[in-house]
Amino acid sequence: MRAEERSGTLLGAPYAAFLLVFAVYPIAFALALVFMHWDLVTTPTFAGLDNVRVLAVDGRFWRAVANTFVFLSIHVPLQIATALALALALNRRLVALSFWRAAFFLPVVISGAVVAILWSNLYATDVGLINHLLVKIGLQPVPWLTDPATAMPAIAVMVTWKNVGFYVIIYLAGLQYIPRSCQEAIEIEGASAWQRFRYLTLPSLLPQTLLVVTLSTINGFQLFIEPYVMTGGGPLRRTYSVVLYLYTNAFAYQKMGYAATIGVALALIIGAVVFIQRKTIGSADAI
Amino acid sequence: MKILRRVGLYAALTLAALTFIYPFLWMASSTFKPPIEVGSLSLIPNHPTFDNYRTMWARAPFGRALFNSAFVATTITLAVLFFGSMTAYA
Repeated sequence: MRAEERSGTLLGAPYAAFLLVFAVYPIAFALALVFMHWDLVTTPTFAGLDNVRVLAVDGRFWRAVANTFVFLSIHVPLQIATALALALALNRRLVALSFWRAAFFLPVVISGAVVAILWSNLYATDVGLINHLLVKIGLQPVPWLTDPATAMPAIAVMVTWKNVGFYVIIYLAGLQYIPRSCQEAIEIEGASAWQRFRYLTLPSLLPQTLLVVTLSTINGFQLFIEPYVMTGGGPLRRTYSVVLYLYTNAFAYQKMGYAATIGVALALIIGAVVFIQRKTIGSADAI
Repeated sequence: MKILRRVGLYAALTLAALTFIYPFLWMASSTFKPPIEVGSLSLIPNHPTFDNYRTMWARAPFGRALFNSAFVATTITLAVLFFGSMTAYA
């Protein structure tokens, strides 16, 4: 037992060391930076609560937080709906099943920057595919990424498209776990397709839905590469994200202390939002 | 009725899959288009060309970038496999 304990510690040590160096230390460092001014070059100076005080009334930061909520209000419901619908379709005995599954998983394995550039072309006002199709069916072209009202929704739709394959897999795994006996029972009871979905499938998938909500929320708060590549945060800062603001403060303004403060605030906001989501969805246990 | 629903399912799936695959096909076909044609949405270039690939090899240190990616991927995979299995065993 003692020898086993020793070997266990030894085997776990490299990863623990890795965690210490690349996770614990940076987090501690970031927490310390909240109370510092640092421009990356000179030695950090103590700032007290300056950073926190500035952040509390920083319109740009709160604008970015508000933008994130706009993003989430579209992204999360759309992500659940699309992933669930596709998973239900792919859960049947289909011809060429692996082809369908691969097709929807394709964007997940492609770099976010590539997808962002690709969609900038699709969303392009004059030459983009989407407006081309709109004009074909007799509608007006929409300046997707240059209109303050449509830019963030457009990015939310794109991110949903990119990630749906990942969440489909989560839902498919959940669907396989619904006991065969329950499915047979509800069929014998004579439930319609809608009733089967509403009273068996949907409640059974609650843990998966909870996971999708949590992951897509966190993903939304960490939105960075898409606005960075596609809009630069514009138009009128409507796609400015919290991480984009953090990045700008850190590497354009060299305000590392302030950037760290934004990062810590972001972590707290994510924690609070996910906590509230889990409480509300968890209490809806009996849907 | 059953066949009709089946057809409907496959039609919906095809439409959905197309929105996932078409952009990538368009991207791939654009690599064979001269700059003036990139705006066109057709998948088949009017004047197919390998110029883009030639420019890429000539201008960007593509071999080096490819090596870097391969190096990072290999290192991460090996390290994760090694330390991950060790930690899991512990």
